[in-house]
Amino acid sequence: MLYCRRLQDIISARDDKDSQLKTQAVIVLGSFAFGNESNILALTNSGVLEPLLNCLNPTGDPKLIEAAARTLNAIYASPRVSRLELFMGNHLNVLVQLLDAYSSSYRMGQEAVLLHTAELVASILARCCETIDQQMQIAGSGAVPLLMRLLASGACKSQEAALGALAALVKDNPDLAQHIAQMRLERGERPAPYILRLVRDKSPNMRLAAATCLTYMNRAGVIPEHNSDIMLTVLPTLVKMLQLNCSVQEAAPKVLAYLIWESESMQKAVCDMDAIPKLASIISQVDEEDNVYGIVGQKDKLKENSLLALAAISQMKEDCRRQVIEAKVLPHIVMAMSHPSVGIRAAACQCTRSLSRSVKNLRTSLVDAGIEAPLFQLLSDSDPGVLSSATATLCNIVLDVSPMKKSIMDRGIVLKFVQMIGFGDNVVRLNAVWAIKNLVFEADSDVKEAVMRQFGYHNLAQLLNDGELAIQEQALNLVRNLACKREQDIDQVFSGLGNGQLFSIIEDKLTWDDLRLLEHALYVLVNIATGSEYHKQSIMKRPGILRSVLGLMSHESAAIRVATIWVIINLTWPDDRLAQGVHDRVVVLRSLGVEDRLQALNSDHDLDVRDRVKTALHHFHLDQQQYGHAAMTAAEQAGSAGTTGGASRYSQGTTTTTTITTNRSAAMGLGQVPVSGATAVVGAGGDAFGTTAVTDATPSGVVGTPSHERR
Amino acid sequence: MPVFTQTCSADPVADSTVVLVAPTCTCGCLSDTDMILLDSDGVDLASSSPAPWDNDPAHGLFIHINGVRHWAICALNTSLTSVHHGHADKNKLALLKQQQQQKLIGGLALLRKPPVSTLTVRTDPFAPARIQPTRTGHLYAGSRFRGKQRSGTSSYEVMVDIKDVNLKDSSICGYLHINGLTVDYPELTTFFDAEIIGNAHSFVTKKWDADVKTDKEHWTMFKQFESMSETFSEEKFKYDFKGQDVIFMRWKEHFLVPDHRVDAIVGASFAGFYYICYNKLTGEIDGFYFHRSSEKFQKLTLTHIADRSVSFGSYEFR
Repeated sequence: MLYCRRLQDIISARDDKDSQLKTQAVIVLGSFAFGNESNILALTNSGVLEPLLNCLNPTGDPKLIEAAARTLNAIYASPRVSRLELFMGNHLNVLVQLLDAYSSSYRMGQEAVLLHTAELVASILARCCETIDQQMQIAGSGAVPLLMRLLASGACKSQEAALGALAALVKDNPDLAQHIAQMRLERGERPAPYILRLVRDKSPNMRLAAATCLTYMNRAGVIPEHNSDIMLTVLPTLVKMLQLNCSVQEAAPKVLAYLIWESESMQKAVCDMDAIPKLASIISQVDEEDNVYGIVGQKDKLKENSLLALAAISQMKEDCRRQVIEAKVLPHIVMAMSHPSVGIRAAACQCTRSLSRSVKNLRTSLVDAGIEAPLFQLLSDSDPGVLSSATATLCNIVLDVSPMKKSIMDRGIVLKFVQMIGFGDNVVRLNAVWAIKNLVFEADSDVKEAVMRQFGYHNLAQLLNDGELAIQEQALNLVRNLACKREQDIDQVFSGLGNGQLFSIIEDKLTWDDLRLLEHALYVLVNIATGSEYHKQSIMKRPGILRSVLGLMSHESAAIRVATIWVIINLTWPDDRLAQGVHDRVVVLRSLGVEDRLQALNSDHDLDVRDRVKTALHHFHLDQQQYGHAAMTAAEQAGSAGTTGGASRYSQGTTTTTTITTNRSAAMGLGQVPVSGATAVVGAGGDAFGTTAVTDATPSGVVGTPSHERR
Repeated sequence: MPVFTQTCSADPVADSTVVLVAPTCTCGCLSDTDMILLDSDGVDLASSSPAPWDNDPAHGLFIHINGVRHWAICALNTSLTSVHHGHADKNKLALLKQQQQQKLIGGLALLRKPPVSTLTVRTDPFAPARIQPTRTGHLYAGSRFRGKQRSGTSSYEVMVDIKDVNLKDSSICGYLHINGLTVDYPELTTFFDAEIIGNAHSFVTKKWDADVKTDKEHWTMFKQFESMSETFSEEKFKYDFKGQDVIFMRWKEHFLVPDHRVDAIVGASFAGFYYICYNKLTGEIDGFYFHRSSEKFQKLTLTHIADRSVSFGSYEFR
C-alpha cells in the first residue's frame, strides 16, 4: 500500500503540467480496483477517493478525466464503499457536468472520449443512488435532462448507461419517477414510449436495462397508460431472459420479481409463460454445478435471484403455488435455507413464505419437504432480513390447519416469539405478535392459557398501545382470538387484562379511523357477548362503547356494519334461562335507538348486512311479543308488580318467574295482561316477524331464571 | 351569522376527507376574509384561540368532545350553504343543532386519524399483499355445515369444516368428514378445495372426466341454474358470483386428513368431485357427486350449524 500512497501523491499534485503521468497513475489504481472487493476497500481506506474525485475538473485533460471516471466507477461497484465523499463539496456538480457530452465548449476530435466519460459518470451515479436523499441530490444537481439527452443519443452504450442511472433514480421514489415520466425528450416524446422501444433492442443488455427502468417506473405507479405494454412486452422479455446463458440471466429474475410482487395478474401471466419450470431448472442446475466443482458460490446471485422470482410468482395465487410444487423444486428451496450466503437464505425463506400461504401446502408438501427444522434454525440467524422472512413463514406454520403446529410448539416456539417481541426490530416484533395471534386461533383453552402464561398479559396490554399501528392491530386480533369460543376463555382475558383496562382499550380503539382496528375491536365485543350474563352485562355497563357501536352501525364499510350488528345479535340472543337479562338489554339498546338504526339498515345495499339485520330485528320482535313495547317502562315504574314478567328485580339477586311465550296467540295473550301500553304487542302480530317467531322459538313453559349467573 | 361558502360534505362522518370550510359572517363576528381550515378531525387549524362565536348559543357551531373541538356543521347537510340572519333561520339552525346532537349521541363523532406507520420504511413486498380473510354469508373460516350424503339406499352423515375462504382467488377449502363409509375408517376426513364459479372458473369443468354434457346434467339439478342451462357453455357467457343469492362451486377432495400420504382406501374413493350450490339465504348447501365409475347423482345436503350465539376468531396468512 506504500505503492498506492505514491500513486496518490502523483494524482494529488497541484500542477497540471504532467497530466499524462497523472493519467497513468489513475489507470494503475483502477487496475487494482478491478481485482476484488478487498482491494477496493484497501484503496478507499487509504483515502484514494478524494484525489480521484478532484481529477474530474472539467477544464482538465479529458483523458485524465476519463481514466478517473473509470477508476471511480470500478471502486463504486462495491456497495461497501462510502458514498459520502461524492456528495460533499462540489464533486456531484462537477460529475453531473460531465454527463454533458455534447457541450459546445469541448474541443473537436474528442467526442468519443467525452461520450465514454459521460457513460462512466452515468454508471457512477447509478451506483451511488440508493437512498431517497441521494436520488434527490443527484436529480437536484440537474442530472435528469442530461441523462435524457444521453438516452436519446442513439449510441448503444450511452443509452444503456443512461437507462441504468434513470432506473436508479426512479426506484422506490414515486415523486421523482413522476417528474421523470412527465419530461420530454428532444423530439417532444415522453421517455416511457422511447424506452419501450429499447425493450425490443437486439442487445440483451439494452433490453434488460430498458426493462429494468420501465419496471421501476411501473412500480412507482407513474406510467399507468403503459400497463398493457408492461404486461405484453416487458414481462415476456424478462421471462425469455431466464433462458439466455449470458450476463443478463443473473439480473433478470430479480427485476422480474420486483415487477410482479403484489400483482396477482402479473404473477398469473408469468406463471402462464412457463417461467416456473425455467426457474426451477436454473436453481437445480446451480446446485448440481456446485456439487460437481465443490465450490459453493459460483453462481450465488443467479440462485438467489431465481429463488426470489419463485417467491414472487407464488405470492398470491394458489395455482402458481401448485406449479412450484409440481416443478419439484421444493427440496432445493429447503436446502437453500441453510446456505452460507445470507441472500440465498433470505430468498429461500421468502419462497417458503409464499408457499406456506396455502392450507393445502401446509398439510402436504411442506411437511414432506421437512421445512420445520431448518426454519426453526433460522430463528437464530444474525441477518435481520432472514429473521423477518423466517418469522413471517412461521406465522403460517403455526396455524391450526398445519400438522407442524404441535411439533414446532414443542420446540419452544412461543418463548422464541416472546423474546422477539421484546428485542426484535419492528418487522420481527410484528411477525411475532402475528404468529401468536395465528397460533391461538381455534386453539383449546389450555393452549391459550399456556401461551399467555409465557407471553404475559402485561406485555399484551403494552402492545395494544404500541407505537406501531400494525402491531396494535395484531395485538387486538390476539385479544379477539383469546376471547373466542368458550366462557372460560373470556374469563381468562377478563382476569388477565382486567375488565376495566380491557374495556377502556376497546372503547379507545372504537374511536380510531382505521378499518382493521375497528373491526377487531368490534369482534372482541362480539365474542365477549357470546359469554355469560356477567360478560354481556360488562359491555352494557359501558355507555361509551354502546354509543360507538351505534355510531359505527352507519359506517361506510359493510364489514364494519356487519360486525356492529353481530354485537347487537349476541347481546340480545334469546335465552329462556336468562330471559330477564336479555329483556333488560333489549330495553337499553332500544332506548339508545339501536332498533331504529336496524330498521334503517333493513334496506342496506349489502346482502350480508341485510341478512344480519333480519336476525337482530327478530330478537327485538321476540322481546316485543313477550313484553310489549311500553310495558317495560310501566313495569319498571311499578317495581315489584309480580304479575308481569318485566319486573326489574334481577339486580337484587332474587329469582324472578318469567312467562316465556312461544307462539303468536300466547304473545297476544300477554298483551291482555293489564299493563299499560301492552296493545303494542298486538301490533307486532301483523309483522312478518310474528310468523318467524312461531317457527323458531323453542317451546318451553315456565322457567325460573337465576338473576345473576356468576360472580 | 356565519355563512358557509363551502360545506364539507353531506355526510362527513362517512367521508373523512373533509377539509375546508370557509365561513363569512354578516353580523360582524367574523370578517369576510376569515377562512377556517379544518383537518379531518374537525379541529380548527388556522386559529388556536376560540372564535368569537364559539360559545355564543346563537352561533354555537362547535361541539366539544373529549376536549377536541368538533365542527358541528360538518355533519349537517349542504342545505346550510346559505344561512342568513333572521328569525326563521334561527329555528332552522336550532333544528339542525338538535339533529347534530342526536347524531353525536349516536356516536357519530368524527373518528380519530391513526398515526402514520414507520414500518413501511423497510420494504417488505408482502406488506401490501395481505391475504385478508374474506367471508360471504355462511362461508367463512371456521364455519361448519352438517348433513347427509345419499348413495343408493344408504345415507351417510357428513360434516364440513370451512378452513379458508379467499373470494379474491375464487377459492375455498376445508375438511369433509364422512361417518360410517368403511370399516377401516369409521370416520373419514378428506381435504377438499372449492372452485367458485365466476370470472375465474367457468361452469364448464373441462377436467376430472367431466364433459359439457356431464356439466349440464349436474348443474341443471339446481333450479337456480335453469336460466343459464342453454348458454353456460358458450364462449361469450359471463357469470359473476358477487351479489348473487347462490354460489355455485366445484368441490374436489385431494387427500386424507390427518395423514395425507394415504391415497387409497378400501371401500371408498374420493377421485370424483362435487357440483355444489350454496344458498346464502337459507345457509344450505346442495351437491351432486360425480365420478365416471361411481353411482350417478349421489346427493349431498348440508345445513349451516348455527351455535347459540356466534364468536369469530380470525387468522391471516403472513
